[in-house]
Amino acid sequence: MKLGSALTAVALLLASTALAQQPAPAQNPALPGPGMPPSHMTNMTLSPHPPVMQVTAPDKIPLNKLKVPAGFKIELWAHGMPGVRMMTRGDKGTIFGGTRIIGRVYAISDKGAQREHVILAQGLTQPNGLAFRNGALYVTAINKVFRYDGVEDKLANPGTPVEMTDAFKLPPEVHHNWKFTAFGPDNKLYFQVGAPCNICELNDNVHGQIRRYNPDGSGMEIVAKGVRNTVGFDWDPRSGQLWFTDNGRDWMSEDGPEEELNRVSQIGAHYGFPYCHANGIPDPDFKKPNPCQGVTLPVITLGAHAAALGMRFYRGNMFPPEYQNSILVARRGSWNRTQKNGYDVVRVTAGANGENPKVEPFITGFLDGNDFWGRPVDVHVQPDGSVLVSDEQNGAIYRVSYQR
Amino acid sequence: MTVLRIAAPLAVALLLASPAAAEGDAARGKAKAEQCFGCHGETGNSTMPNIPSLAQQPAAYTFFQLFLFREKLRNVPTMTPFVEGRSDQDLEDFAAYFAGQKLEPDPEPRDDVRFQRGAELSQRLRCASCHGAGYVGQAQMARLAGQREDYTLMALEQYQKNERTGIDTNMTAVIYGLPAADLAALAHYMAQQK
Repeated sequence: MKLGSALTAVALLLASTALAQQPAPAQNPALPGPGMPPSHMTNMTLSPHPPVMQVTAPDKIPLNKLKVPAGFKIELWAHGMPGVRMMTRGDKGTIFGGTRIIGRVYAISDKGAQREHVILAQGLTQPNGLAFRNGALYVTAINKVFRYDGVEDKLANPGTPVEMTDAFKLPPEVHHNWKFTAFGPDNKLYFQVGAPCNICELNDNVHGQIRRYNPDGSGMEIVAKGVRNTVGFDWDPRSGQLWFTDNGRDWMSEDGPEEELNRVSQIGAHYGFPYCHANGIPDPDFKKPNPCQGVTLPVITLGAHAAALGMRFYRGNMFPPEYQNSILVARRGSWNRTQKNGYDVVRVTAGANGENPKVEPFITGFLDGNDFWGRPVDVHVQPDGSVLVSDEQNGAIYRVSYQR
Repeated sequence: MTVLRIAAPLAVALLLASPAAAEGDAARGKAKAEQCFGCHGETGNSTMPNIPSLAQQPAAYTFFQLFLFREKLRNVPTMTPFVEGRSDQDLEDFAAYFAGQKLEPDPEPRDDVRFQRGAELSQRLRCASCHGAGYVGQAQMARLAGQREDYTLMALEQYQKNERTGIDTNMTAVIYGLPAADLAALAHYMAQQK
């Protein structure tokens, strides 16, 4: 998107945001209110870590601190893309990278010995969700949806995208609504509409969902409900079922509720928010009788405040055979916890029905004592079986490979 | 208390480590900032309605806002001409200059009812967790203490309506569903802080 069209997009965005405004829902702010932390968390000065908007030079990325299992190798694959997060791949091999606050979409071309990138779009509100189908890149930016047709043939000058916002009719709340977006095996476009709060009552028909649509925005179906904040999902090659990560609430305790890895065995199932968390923990602020009744509990939990985000089933041919159908999960790392947690990529193994789930480290070393230098957000399995890992903090993508 | 003693140096370390915050040059910033003074005041103390005071704002906060203006991510048309074409270094210099100025608050008279309500809300919403003890700001999070009440209220309303892009969306989450009178109470309470 060139500057002119970016300006137009911003103007459109402002206009339609104003139109789409909805009155804030009624909520009783009587004290003590929902989300009040237990006494041991009341005086903590925990806050989100600042992002980085500037380019990080490759020699400032301490790659040698990263550890991978024996036989694996990790290298810097691409850099210089501040805020890069979710990844999807075009048919011709372009890796597209979404972002949050910096508002850009990157397009990365593999030139063999090195990678080159262009800023495909800028000035968007959190264009985190990217999906590719039939030569077109779909970009979801909170409640905006854009489609770049034939994009891989014109990366340097993609022109004005087709705007599909009106067809999708998405709510405008920004919090927990930076999309994860992907096409399912059913050729439908999937993304979430998260909870616009840390913890609050939801209208289950609007927020706290994973949805799917026909690629033109018609035929919306709710795939999952009671989902607080998922920023990653994939389909099990064995069953075709959707699995997704979901992040637990803040300010309840240092040690929970933990993040979740969930499986959708029934379309429209409820995953508990805001009444039931993790492995069946009732919410202390929003109470109802039998809060976990009818709730689908996670296959496994993924740590307190660890921010389990991008996940993919490994279905490549490069890694050892036991990695087949393993799930690699990027954990961006905690802020609402004194001792930092996450900041790694883990491997989850489980049966197709979620049986015998186990978690083990896959990439560690982003955390140095209680200080972090990198924040992995997404994983992507390449056709050659190697795995790309995006690091939002350093604007970099790493490549993990295995030597037989 | 142990936690607080550990957390304070950590917060400082984080601020120093932030590439946005560490490298601004206040003197260079002042030399280039004349165009800012008309609205924000030479010492960063605004006397104009809805225009924020920038004095004693954390440098990282001001840098990020200027960055968002320049990238047209936070759309305030009156700010655009002042940041267009500016380098990251320029923005860091501006931020460093205003961070080093002294805030001289000139609040409206205190309204006890709104003040008390604001005090309760700021406890419940844990404003100090991000904005720091005494609400003096830290890293990318704004100083609220002594800020113009009209400006803080405008900012809260814009966050709540998803009309203002911040460096993070937690502001929209924290005040989700809060009635207008409570936003006003918060702005009043913060303006009364020293």
